[in-house]
Amino acid sequence: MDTFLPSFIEKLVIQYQGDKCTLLNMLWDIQKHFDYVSEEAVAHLARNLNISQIDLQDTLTFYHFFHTRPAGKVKIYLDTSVTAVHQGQAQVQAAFEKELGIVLGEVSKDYDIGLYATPCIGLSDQGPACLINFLPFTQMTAKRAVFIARQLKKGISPQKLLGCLGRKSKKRLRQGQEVTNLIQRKDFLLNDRVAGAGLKKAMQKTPEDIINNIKISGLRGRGGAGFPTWKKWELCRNTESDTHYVICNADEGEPGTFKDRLLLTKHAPMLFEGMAITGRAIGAQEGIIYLRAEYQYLLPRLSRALTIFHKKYLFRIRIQIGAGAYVCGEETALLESLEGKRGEPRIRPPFPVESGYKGRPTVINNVETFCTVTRIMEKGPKKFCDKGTEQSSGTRLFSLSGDILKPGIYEWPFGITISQILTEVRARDALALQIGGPSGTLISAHEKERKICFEDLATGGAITVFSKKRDLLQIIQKHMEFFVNESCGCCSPCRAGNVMLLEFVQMLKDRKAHARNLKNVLQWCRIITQTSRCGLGQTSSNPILTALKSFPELFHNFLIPDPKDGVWNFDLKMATGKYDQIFEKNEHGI
Amino acid sequence: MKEVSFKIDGKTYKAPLGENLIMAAKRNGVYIPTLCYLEGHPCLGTCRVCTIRVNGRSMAACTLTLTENMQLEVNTSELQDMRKAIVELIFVEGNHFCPACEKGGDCQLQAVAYAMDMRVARFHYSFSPYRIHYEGKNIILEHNRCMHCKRCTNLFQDDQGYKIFSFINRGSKTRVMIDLDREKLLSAEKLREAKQLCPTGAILLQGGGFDRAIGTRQYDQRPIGVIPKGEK
Ligand SMILES: Cc1cc2nc3c(=O)[nH]c(=O)nc-3n(C[C@H](O)[C@H](O)[C@H](O)COP(=O)(O)O)c2cc1C
Ligand code: SF4
Ligand code: SF4
Ligand code: FES
Repeated sequence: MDTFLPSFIEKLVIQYQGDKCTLLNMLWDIQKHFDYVSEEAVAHLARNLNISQIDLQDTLTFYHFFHTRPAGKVKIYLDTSVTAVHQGQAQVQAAFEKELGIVLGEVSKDYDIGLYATPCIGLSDQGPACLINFLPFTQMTAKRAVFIARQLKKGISPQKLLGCLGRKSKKRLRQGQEVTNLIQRKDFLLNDRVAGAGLKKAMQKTPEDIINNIKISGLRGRGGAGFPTWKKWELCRNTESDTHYVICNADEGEPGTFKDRLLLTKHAPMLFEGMAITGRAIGAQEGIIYLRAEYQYLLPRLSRALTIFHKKYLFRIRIQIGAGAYVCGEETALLESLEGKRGEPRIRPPFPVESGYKGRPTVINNVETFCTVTRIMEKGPKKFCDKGTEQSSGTRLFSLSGDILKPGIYEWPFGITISQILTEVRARDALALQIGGPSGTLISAHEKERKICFEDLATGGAITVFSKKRDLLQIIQKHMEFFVNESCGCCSPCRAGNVMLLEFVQMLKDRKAHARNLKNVLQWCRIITQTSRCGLGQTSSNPILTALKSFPELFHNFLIPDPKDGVWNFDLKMATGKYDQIFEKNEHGI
Repeated sequence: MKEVSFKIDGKTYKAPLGENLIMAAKRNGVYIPTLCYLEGHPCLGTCRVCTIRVNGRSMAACTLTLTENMQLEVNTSELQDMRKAIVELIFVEGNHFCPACEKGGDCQLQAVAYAMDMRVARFHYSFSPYRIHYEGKNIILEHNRCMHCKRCTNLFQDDQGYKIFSFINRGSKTRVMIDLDREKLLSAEKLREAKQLCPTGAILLQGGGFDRAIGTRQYDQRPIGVIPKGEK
């Protein structure tokens, strides 16, 4: 096959016009044809792009879905997120391992099948799930894993196995269907929509009017940070440039979130309209959707919807697939990735609204933000801000999973309380809730009156409920592992600091941490939070910090008291005081 | 360039509008510790050792430029301790045996640690097993000493404009790597440039380690900066 590689790569580079920004696509194409990106492929590609090989490795080795060693014709990625673990991921993993004769992270030489771990794949409401050659398999059981592995060993393609037997849920699905999009509650955003109405109304308005409408609505970004959408647009519009860009953040990487998956599956036209409205508001003709690699099974569907959209409207949209990196959801890392580089967050300022994609002013919004824009244009801003709270207007989508009887997607107004949520989702024996994924807040189920809104508990939309059966320390540990693995590694507090925090949690679990360790760790958390370069490092201490607030006993029960004597009582100042005096004297004497 | 006034720890100073904060402080005699920052080059913002507070928010000073009436906090005991903690973190992440290092006395990390009066690290050493990369014809990569500042990856090219250094992997597995094909062809001058660019002893050249006696080197003669004591 390798004899074919040089000409394959030559054609590839011609196809992408030698544009380094499309590097992710080229690497995907190579991997799809040759199962992995070999050293030889790197050498050829670098030569054809006229860059050094190490320059290519820079991007290639950053993303966890790119393999640089033989990785198997069939690649199975098991969701190893906390929720999946609770749903029985270990049994599924064991079944695969046994049937394939390998352990996680290995490739079966006999069958050319690889088995890998991957963080949350956006299917927490129907887990444990896995991706096989990037096709989703949900509601996995050990039995199902055995069945699938056997079929794969016989050479049957994953495509043919979609919808096969052995699912955990007895719910019947259409032939070949795996993913359900369970909507438990609809409101402003999901209620019956008139296709095209939002965009049509926007086209009759001036850009200033559109921005003003969004301002009246009070809409804040749905990706997590909650920046006022109108303000972002206005700043971008006011930056002079020959080109402006609209970018949709469909990276949905926060473990436990899957609401964008629903919108991308069922409401792509609503998203496209929202992007076109934004384009009109800021003066952009072009949009890009950055779709996380885990969702590439949605690509055929999205492309069909896009073709229809392009027949009707002038606004151009293209879709870029990521390659597995949570940090690429951070907007400036996303831009780097879109330009074919490592997903390292940029230094700000300048902000994307001034200098974004290819140095041009760019608006980046979440999928749901764009969809909401479409509905606000259609129904008017007043109807939107009728709901919600003072500083968090409107409704939004929530991804509910964990120990509840009714998982799925809920559209609730901001200000909904924990007690309302627990009742509506039919929580079983709830102990704690993770609001907004690992980077958000862990609260106790007793904090019933707390509200979901930017004033109290902010969230990117994920709510995971944990029952009394669950081990909170294990959850904290898994979340810290997630940050250690997903840190881009470019700034020292986050790269090195999170490793320290994870070690502490492990020590705590093994009952080896002392009371003094906890005191130190709190100080370290503060340092990491305050000095890290991007939102990842600025929030990665939250699993520890928020758990300590809501479940102090969890820590104190596990800590060993400090012994009275020992080096930790060592007073450095006192011990070296004499030396310091002499040293200072000499210093001045010179 | 227009001069503007700004405040550091309550005192008013003047510097040209738009000047990098490190330089604006420096011209007024205030030392802000830096590691990745290199005067006259685009800032890298990776080490975070220059963290200060700007209008109340903690930020990396090297990544910002001066505006009128900026309120900076530099030498509060909290900030000094925070910066020191980062230096300690960098030390424990690698394996730095300064007395045996070719760069000792010329090393910026060591010099900043001295300036901060660092004696021990508050973190425990990870003793990570790093490999020394000897595969290059000229360059040795001493991964034990790399602080991931990105100077070599972002500020260095060969004479034809090709990248020679890059990061590989991510997170705590991030390593610097060289392009073996092109490294072979680097001129002696370029090689020296690479070695000097590295703030620590991570980039070394084959066959030339202790060319100048320890005790006579750059920071042996003159400390890198002076941090006011007292508040600590
Ligand atoms: C580590 C990290 C990961 C993020 N992941 C996402 C994501 O997956 N999707 C998203 O919309 N925003 C994500 N964000 C937030 C984006 O940086 C950005 O704020 C958002 O896309 C802006 O859109 P909005 O204003 O519509 O919310 C992430 C931020 C950080 C720091
Ligand atoms: S905080 Fe973490 S993810 Fe963000 S830039 Fe620093 S190392 Fe990268
Ligand atoms: S090798 Fe030196 S210059 Fe390069 S990142 Fe490491 S410490 Fe910085
Ligand atoms: S000197 Fe500012 S971040 Fe390194």
